[in-house]
Amino acid sequence: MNISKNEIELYRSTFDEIHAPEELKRKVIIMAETKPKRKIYAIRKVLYVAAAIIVLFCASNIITYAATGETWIEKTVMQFCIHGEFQEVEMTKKVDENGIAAYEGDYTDENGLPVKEIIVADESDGYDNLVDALNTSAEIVKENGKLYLSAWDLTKNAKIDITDDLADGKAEGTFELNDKEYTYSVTGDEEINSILISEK
Amino acid sequence: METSEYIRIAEQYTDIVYRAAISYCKNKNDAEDAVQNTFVKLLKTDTEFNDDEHIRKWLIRVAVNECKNMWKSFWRRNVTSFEELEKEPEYIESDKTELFSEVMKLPQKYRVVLHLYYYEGYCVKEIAQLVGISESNVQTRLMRARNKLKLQLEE
Repeated sequence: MNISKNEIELYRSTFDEIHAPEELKRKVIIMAETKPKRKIYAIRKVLYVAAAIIVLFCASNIITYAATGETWIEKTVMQFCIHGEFQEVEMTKKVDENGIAAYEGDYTDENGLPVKEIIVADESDGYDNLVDALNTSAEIVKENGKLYLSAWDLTKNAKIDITDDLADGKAEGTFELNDKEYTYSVTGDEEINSILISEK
Repeated sequence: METSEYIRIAEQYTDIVYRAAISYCKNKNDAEDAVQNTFVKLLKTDTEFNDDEHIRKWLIRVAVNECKNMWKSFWRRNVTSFEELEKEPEYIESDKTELFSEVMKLPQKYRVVLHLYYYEGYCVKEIAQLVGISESNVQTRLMRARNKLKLQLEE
């Protein structure tokens, strides 16, 4: 790749002038003295979750339960506080036999495109696992005409070929990532409409 | 991790993590959240770091993942605060203002690889590991980012 030295120097000198705000630096240093739990400092994240939980138990519009064999499905409206404004999304909660909960909801993004939001959480011990669950992410990547489920955590990436399985609309299985075993379930076609990952 | 070691790392790397987060999030508030979450993870990690370069890579990787996770959430995607970021930093030289502004207009997937390549000086292989994509994907993104940036600057 032919990249000129000037180009790099200009980029570097531009970004050299960006500094973290002093208040942020102070907060980061203070963390060492207080040894906080993640939920204390993930204030914004916890606020969203708290808002969702409050609405879930106190102010949700309609809660319907329907037994579907192995899982329970709960539908509710979750309300999220976004920069002071509340937005409502109908979320479907599914809890499997291991107590792993996943919230799924559809909404339209700023470009008018449909997006499926999935949050995986183990509710057994509160918010922490919800935050932890967000550390493992997955997406579908298309390479050389094949479809792969690409899942990653903080240090590693796992890639599973799901081309054949997804041909009939659903791919399910397990994979290992950093000595942890996960189950996955992908439904849809090339326009994937659901990816569900949960720790076994 | 010893408190003194943590403070040394925080003092040395907060700006670096913040710059990487800004490149990804394009949003001051999200970048600050990502930085805080990254350092919380540093406090909690059992990772034994070999040297400063190992720490640097670990922090950038965690920050990128934090940004990715935040970006996956709909409320983050619905926040458009380029205007907010555009107010800062205040560059004295106009070419820097222009470059910064044009870099921030690039799609997110291009910004992060561009930053890691140009600013952090990582090679394609290292960026692939940090971001979790293939090397050829990094090459493609870099190439497209440069072409797009060049076009924008010429306009």
